[in-house]
Amino acid sequence: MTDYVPWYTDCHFEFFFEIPTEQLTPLVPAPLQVVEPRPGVALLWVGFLRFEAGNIDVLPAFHGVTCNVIVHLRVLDGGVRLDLASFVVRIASDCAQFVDWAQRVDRMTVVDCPGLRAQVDRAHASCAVEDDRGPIFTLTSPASEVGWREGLFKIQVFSQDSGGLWEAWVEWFGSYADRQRPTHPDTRLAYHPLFGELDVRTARCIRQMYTAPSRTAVMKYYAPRRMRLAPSAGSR
Amino acid sequence: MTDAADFSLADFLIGISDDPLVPDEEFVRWRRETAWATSQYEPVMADAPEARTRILVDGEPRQVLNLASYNYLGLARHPQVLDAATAALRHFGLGTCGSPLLSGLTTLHRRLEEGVARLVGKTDALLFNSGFGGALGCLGGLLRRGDIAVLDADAHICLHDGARVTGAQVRTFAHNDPEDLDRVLTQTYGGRRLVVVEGVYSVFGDIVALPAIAAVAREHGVQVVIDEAHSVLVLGERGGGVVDHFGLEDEVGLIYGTFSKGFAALGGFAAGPVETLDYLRCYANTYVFSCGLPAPIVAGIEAALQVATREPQRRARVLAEADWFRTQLRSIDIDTGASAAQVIPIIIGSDRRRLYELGHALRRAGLFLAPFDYPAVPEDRLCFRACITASHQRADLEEALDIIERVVVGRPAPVRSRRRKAGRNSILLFPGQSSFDPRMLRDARALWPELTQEVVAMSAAALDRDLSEWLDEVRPRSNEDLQVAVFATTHVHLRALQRVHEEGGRSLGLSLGEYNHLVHIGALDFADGVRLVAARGAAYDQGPPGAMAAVFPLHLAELEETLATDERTRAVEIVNLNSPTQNVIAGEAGAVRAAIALIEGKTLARAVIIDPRHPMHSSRYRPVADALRPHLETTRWRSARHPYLPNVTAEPVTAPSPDLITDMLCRHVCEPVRWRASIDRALRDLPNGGRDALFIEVGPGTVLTDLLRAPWRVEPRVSTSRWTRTVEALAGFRGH
Repeated sequence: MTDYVPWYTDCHFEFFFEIPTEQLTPLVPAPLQVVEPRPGVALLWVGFLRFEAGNIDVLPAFHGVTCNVIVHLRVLDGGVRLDLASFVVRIASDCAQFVDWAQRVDRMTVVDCPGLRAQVDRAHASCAVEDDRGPIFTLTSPASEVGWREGLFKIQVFSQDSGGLWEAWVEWFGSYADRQRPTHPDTRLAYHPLFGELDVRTARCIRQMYTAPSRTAVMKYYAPRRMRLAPSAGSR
Repeated sequence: MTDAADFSLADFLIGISDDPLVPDEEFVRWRRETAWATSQYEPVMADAPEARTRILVDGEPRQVLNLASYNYLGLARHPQVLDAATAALRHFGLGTCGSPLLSGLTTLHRRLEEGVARLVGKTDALLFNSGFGGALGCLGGLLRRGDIAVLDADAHICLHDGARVTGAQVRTFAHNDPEDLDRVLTQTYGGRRLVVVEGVYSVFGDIVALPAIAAVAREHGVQVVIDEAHSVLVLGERGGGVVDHFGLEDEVGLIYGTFSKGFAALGGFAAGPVETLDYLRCYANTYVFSCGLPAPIVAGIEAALQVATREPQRRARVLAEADWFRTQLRSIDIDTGASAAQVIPIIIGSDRRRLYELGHALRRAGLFLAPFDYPAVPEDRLCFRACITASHQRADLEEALDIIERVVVGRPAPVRSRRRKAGRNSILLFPGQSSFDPRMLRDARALWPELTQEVVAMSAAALDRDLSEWLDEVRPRSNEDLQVAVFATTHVHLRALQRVHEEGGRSLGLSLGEYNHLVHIGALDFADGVRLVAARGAAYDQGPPGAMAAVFPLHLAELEETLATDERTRAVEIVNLNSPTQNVIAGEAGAVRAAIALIEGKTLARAVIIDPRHPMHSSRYRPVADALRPHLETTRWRSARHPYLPNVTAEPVTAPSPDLITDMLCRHVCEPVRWRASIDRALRDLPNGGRDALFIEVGPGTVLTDLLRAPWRVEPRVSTSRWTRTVEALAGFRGH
């Protein structure tokens, strides 16, 4: 696989929230299956990324937000070890070119967020994101002491559009902090079209990942491939 | 990845390795780096799961106060349970060697099925060899793809797995929230549905809101299955669990339970209508395709059921002590959530590193608690779980509170520990009638005039006779007089000791002293005791003649060997096993005299007649036991505050029933007194195996402390008949 586009970002937050499985399962197409860290509880993965001009191909500076569900990995041919798999529920951006890119190239579902803007406080590892309709989320790290480390994550990203179910592979490398701590009072998900019908009021944040200030992380985003489903036993 | 606090098992559900048999390398590294914390899991126990036990810490056995075991009613080592299991082991062997469907059932299994069904108020029951497996089998057998299982969000994972394994849809409702159950049932209209709840929730100890939940389920036409794992035998009038507690047998379609908690054994059961159970006998795979419960386990469970049914005071005591402990925890600002039963969480919050650091500190301080981490509990409710059992004494729980307050709350050593310290490590010994001295009450009056007069007056009132002359000298006209006088004098000493020594710790009594022991532990009122002891003495006076002789120094085996060498002495019985080298023989007077001659002729030991009239504790005294029994059976026995340590078994019994006490006191009239074993057993339950213990002989004379000689026992000892020394020793013992 060499057909990837590098994405560079100097500001990347990814927070995991516990949501009842029964709410997330309908968002995930078969044969994907949600991961339940606890019985009846699955994980919503909410992210924020800031890109400077030229960080993705020739795109201008923009913000991106993501709303994924953590799902079980599907082992790739060749036995490549992966760290994480998610299904993209929706993404949003204030950059029309990126929206077009995400839909056309990365096969993602994009929700319109007019006037998407963010306030980032790197000192407190916090970002507040909103659009013209109101707040979307505030993500704040509850950890007061931060230990940065370099790391490589290999992530399987599933998405769905009218063309079917797609499977992409992302390699993420950068300097980051990874914490499993309880919800900070300033971490809130708001009612917003990004989250559809999900009841996010009581969502509990159980893991926080974010990049180190003044360091650039890179994602190699490989072109999605239509997902090949294993033949059922009855078809032989 | 360097900090255990940053990760939990939930993180390694997400990533996978190339090979199912090779764990993810990140997981392996995390396990290695967090070994300091996770070493608290899979603790290795070196003793039985009693209130005090030993666990391996750094490879070495360490004495701990145990709040981690499910032995809720204290039945794990109950004599009746052990006897039943042992008999079944000898008769049926270790395993059943077959599936219940094919060859894995015995007559014991059928009897237990009936007993369990009766206990929970259902018509039929079947037994599983595993608690987890039973739940898996029940839900797996009942549900099918397309069905909907509606589970409480906090229901145990075995119930979630049981539902999932069938391919049924699993929906959850907010924990213990009937309104949310209503919402979910409204959303899931159509198809087959089943509501699944627990009786007492296994970590946070709250009780299911069954009346409201059952009502909602009934409105939707859905049946309820309840898992009574932590509630059966503990809650309910007959011990049938939460369903029994609320009297809702008709509202719950199937009751599931385990034998690993209140029954202190292993396995599970399902109870319900015959047709449902018959269906499960065919479709519960964990029943059909695994071996039946081993017969010794089944027999032990049945015995546990009998004891628990006969002794409802055990569950009353567990719940009362749990209530007290929970109240005390809350008073020192410990969050115990919504716990309302014997399972009590000590909620730490979200600081995982603190959870494990506290876990180590608690164990180092001598308190054994189980830690619960995410994802077993919510991320912000990491906790320790305390399981209160009938074996825990108030002093144990006070000690646990002291440790928790010091280690978890961070406050200095509290008052309750200092108050109890002397009592906790002391063992009170009550002597038998061989300690009689005609001037014993006069000596007592010299030390404690008002107290002695009060006790003598109480004794006189109980017997309706004038005993005032005893205050000068006791001239017993019968064994009845002698026993009453020793019993009363010992009680004076106990009251005097309690004035300076507060509660006192554990106790035991030799022969007659067992009655003072029963008074001390609260099982017998003093006035009732006087009447009972008088009846005992009167029965002795009417008993067959014989004699008793003390033999010393001679080891038991040598004594047995010597007695066996002569035809005349073979009928002589060894009736008191007092110390490694001091035993007492009894029997027909001529035979005892012959034995004395034989012993002194063949060994270097001495043998001395200690009673020329009464062959106590020998089988000749069986008629005496029969005569005493009606008096014992009509005595008002009370709840014991401390364990009862009978002479004949040398095994402590928590919350002894009237039947058990009666049986033990009858047996000890005509069976050997195992004093040496009783002393050793009493020490075993103390911190550090009793190495810090102080023996206090409470009563006239020094007979019992004289028996405690090196090399058998080297612990410090005092006798209240040497009062000044006793007071000094107590002051020193407390570190004053």
